[in-house]
Amino acid sequence: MPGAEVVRDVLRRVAQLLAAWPHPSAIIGGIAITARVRPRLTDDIDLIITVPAGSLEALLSVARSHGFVEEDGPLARELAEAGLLRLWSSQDVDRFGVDLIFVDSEQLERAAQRATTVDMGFCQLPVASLEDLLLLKLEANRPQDIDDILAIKHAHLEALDMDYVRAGAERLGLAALLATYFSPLHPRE
Amino acid sequence: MVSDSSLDVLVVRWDDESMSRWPTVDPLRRARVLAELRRADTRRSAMATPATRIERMFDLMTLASLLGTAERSNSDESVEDWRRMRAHLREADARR
Repeated sequence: MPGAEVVRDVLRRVAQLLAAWPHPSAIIGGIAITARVRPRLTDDIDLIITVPAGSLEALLSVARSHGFVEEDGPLARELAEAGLLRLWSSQDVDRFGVDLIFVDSEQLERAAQRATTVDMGFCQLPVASLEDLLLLKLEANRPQDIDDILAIKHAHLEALDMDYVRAGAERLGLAALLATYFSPLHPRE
Repeated sequence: MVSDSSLDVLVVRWDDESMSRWPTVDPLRRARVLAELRRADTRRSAMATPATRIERMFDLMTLASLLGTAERSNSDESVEDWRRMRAHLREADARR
């Protein structure tokens, strides 16, 4: 895992990249959980980003101008065309990855639109709201996501817009899963 | 540190005496106490500023590197996770 200075530098450059990109975006994943809830380990930066049709080259150009290199190879190119662009902070061994997930669904569009700027001390980043993080975590539902869901609940239950969360979960077919984690039968969880 | 009558746990003191008695505690109760400590830690973390939290994340990264416990995510696995999420989100759009 790269050192703190490497990650700090990458986050600073991601912030500059996103400030230069004139379309909505939002940090999600471990960095977003750290920004909004509690510190936790992560080995990459995940973000969702609006990339209008035909703008991939423009995005790559902005990314390169901030020192990022895209993952190479046929699979990487195919994934980028489909909506997942993997950038690296440099070509060094001590590098850190940035996964850009292109907005191509209503939920991702909402998450990018509703993101707010968070001051990380050394840079400012657009970070997905707690509600959208929760919905994306429910969608993924891996062990780490479950941990994050419970952390959001424990730290921010009273601040959450549960009407928005319930409507989103309903729309995504995740209402039963939401009830599992937020059931009043388990008020302490 | 912890007060929770429903769990029949009044106080957990992290001193030598508590630690020496810890193995005798019922495993379920121990799990509940640890979960409660974790919840309290999460709530405390959430009250800090994002800048403080990110610095603590850097501390965790440094510690993980020193201990050799940092794991790189499986690239193939994360691509599959993305494919699954993308398909599901787009299906949800299509249903509407």
